[in-house]
Amino acid sequence: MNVRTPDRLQGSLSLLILKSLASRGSMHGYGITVHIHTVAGDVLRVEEGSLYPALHRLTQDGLLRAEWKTSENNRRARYYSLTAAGRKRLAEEEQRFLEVSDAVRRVLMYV
Amino acid sequence: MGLYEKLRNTLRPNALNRELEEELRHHMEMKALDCERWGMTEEQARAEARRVFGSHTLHKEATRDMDVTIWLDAATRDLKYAARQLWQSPLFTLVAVLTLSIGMGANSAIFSLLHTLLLKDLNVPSPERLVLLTAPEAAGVNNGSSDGVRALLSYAEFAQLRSSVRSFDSMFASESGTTLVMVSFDGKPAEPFRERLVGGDFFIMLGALPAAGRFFTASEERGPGSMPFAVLNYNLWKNRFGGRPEVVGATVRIQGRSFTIVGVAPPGFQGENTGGQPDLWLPLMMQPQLMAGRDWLRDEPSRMPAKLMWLHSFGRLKQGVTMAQAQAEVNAVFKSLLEQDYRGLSAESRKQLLTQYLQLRPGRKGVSEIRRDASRLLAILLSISASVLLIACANLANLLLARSSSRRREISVRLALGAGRGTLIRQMLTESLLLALMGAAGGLLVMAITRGVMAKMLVSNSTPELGNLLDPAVLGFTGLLLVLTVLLCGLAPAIRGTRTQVGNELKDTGRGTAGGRGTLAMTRWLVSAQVGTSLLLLIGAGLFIQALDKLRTLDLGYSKDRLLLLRVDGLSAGVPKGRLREYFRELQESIAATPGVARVAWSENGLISGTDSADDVAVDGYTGETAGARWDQVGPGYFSVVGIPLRAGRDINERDLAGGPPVCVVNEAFVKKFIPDGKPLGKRVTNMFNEKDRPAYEIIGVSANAVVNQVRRAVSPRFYIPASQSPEGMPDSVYFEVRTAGEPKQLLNTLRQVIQRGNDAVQITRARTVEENLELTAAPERMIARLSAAFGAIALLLAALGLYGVLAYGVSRRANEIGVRMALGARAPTIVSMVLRESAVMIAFGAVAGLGAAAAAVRLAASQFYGVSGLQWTVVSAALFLLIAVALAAAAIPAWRASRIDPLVALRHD
Repeated sequence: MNVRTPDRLQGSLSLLILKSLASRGSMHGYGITVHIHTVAGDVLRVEEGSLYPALHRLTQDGLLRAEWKTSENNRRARYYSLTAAGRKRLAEEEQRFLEVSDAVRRVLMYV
Repeated sequence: MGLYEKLRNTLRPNALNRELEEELRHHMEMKALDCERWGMTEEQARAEARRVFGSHTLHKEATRDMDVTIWLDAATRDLKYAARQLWQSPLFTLVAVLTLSIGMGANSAIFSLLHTLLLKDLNVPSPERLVLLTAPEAAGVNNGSSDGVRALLSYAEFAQLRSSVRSFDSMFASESGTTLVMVSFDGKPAEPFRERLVGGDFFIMLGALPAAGRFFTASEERGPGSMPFAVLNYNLWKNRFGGRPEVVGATVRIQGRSFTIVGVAPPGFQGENTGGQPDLWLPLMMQPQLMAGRDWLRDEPSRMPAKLMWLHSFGRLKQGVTMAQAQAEVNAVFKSLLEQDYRGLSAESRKQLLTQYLQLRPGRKGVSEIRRDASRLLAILLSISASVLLIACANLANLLLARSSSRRREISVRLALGAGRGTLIRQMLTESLLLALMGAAGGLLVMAITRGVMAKMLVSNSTPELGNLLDPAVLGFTGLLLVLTVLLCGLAPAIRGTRTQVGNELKDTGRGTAGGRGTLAMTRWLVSAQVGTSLLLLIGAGLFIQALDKLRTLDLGYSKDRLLLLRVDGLSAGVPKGRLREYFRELQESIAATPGVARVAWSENGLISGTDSADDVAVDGYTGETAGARWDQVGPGYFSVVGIPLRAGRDINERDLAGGPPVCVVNEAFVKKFIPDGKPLGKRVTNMFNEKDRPAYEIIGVSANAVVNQVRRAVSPRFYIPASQSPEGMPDSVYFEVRTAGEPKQLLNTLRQVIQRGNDAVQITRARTVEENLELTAAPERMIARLSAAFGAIALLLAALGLYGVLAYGVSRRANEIGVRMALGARAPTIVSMVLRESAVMIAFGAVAGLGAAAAAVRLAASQFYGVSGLQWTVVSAALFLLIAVALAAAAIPAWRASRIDPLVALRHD
């Protein structure tokens, strides 16, 4: 579960996936990488080698729902969307992340 | 990883791999498309996509792991962890698995018998259409009359029903018992085999296909003697003939008559009867040929209302006909045939006789003579073995509980480090699951060994077809036990063990006193429960042993010592009915002259042999309600030879048999019931059975009450007549009561030669001592006494183990406290009594509960079993003594160990 160079925010890949799906609805794996790349720019680039294991783990944990659909260019693709549990988890993780980053920011700001 | 791979490969279908492949390929193609859009060639774009994407296979592997391992991982990790835990304490594991194996095995074995005898349907096509016309538990031959629900049919009745009833598309009849016949293969000496006579569409209706050859059918019935065919039992074919095909078509001699073996029944074929299986099935049509001089295929009109009722009968409902419709039609036919049969009788007798009717029942479970008794026994045994399993579970729960408390700190640390409580509970449950699985496997082994033995104990004269060991229902039952065991043993310790306040436990240095009050209280309750249950089982075992002893030492009213009974069939000797009296007299003389024989008498029904006669009687001076009395026909000198004392009058003698006036000897119970003035001699006893021939016997003697049949009841009123004086004439078969000088069985061969002198055809159909007959009668009591004693011992052992475990654990936990006490001046005896006091409380609680349960259970058993009459103080005190002795022995070891604790070592510890 790494985010590509530099290893800035360890453990946040699931949060990124959950959030992307929350804002964009149902997406396939490639769509998720594109979305994150678009929004975050080159700072956060999702490594595909981590993305699919993470997607499958989240699905196993019941946070995501996966289904085969036809993509925009008429290809069969696996689309992921949030389940209710996923939505709940997102809220928690988001909250925690904000708290942690706020705390980190305050420590850094303390001169 | 090797294990992972294996599990993954077996567990996962290829579809998942393909989907994953497709998903990743989609990603690469999308990426390539985008790169192309940015101006690369397709080739370049693909290469770039693959580069960025990294190793394709590696990602696939990683992703795939996520799919499978998430759940598998946890399971295997738990299993490995549990296995390691168990491996580290091999003694604990061994004890746990052994006790569970015994508990589960015994329960499964008993359930398997219960299933075979009670629950399982016959293996027939559309069993719901099979209807039974007779009483499922009836067996034997009833030569007489009946009223109300008819238990068995005569052949003539079956034939009439088959030709008239339209509700069935086919019917069959079968002999309700089995008969021993002498069979000679290839001219070799004849051996005894068990046969069952069957007729009608027997094999077809039961849906059997022959394993070899063919079956005989109803269409071959051309009157008595017309079908000299035999069908072999599969086991007989395999064991006796090595399954050779040429056996089919061979000729054998059965009772001296030629029969052709036409076929072999399929393996496991149990016919219509779930009791004992015969070696041979023979056609009903051959009955007169097999039993020389007897025709059981007709009802003799001159003997009415007496009929020979000996057959079970089944019908197969026509499509769309309900059982109620069939019941109505069958009884209409039955009633008209009864009216026909009884037309010559008085209105009064007819009125009673015509109350007879047939009660149709679903036939899918077949018939079984032993079912009712066996199910009663099995229900008791099942509750006993269930108690043992409960004790075993309690024991295991205790051990696990103790382990979980000794792991408290480890668990607290793990909880503090963020392990979920659910994970911990799951891990601990996995441990009990592993134990239970091993226990179940062992249990199946125990079942395989014991169920045959139990079946033998249950069914004395033949072996019931037990069916497949791995019957789904039996496996299901064992599985259910397994789940229950896991929950009973594992859940409470797991929940208890993980309910710990992280902070408290980590702060606790182990220097406290008892610590973990809740856990210990629970283990104490479990030990009390074990003690109580084992006391209950011990008392039960004691009561059953006492009942068995009562049966064995029963005062019969005569000496059962060295008394041999030989049943000889006069008709098989080719003696005409009119000469039977002389024949039996000559036999009596030659037996008496045999060296080693002290004295000999004979009678129709023998002693404790299971056969008896009873009829309504009228007695001079008796004005009460019409009542029945039992009776027997005896030869000369019966009372003095058997040893039944005469209270008044004389014995029956040779002159009475040789055409003297009708006389009888009555027993004291008879006098008490029928002779109000207490002066029996000279009064007459009239047998009311046959209204055209009602002999009146003058009482010439009064005998003491003697148990000649029905050992479980008070002696009933009985009269004895000279054997030639019954309206039926001489009995065809009689029992010779031979009092021998030495061991009776040693004389058996000599006596056989004496009886068969010059005529091999003479049949000795029974040869048993009175003691053997008593043993056979007591078989159910013996089985229960033995098994409940064995289970009681196991239970006691388990309870002792449990007690020992809890105390030993307590002592080791309280080492500090004990050390402090000793340092402060407590002496060894004080410490010992402290530990013993603790155990005394547990024992006392258990004993009181056990006694209460025993008092309730014994009331239930007393209504079911002979000789169980309530809580006997001797039994209760013996059981209590045994329990306390064993429990104290178990408690003594930890107590002694506690007193040897060295305060210095204990206080330095930790």
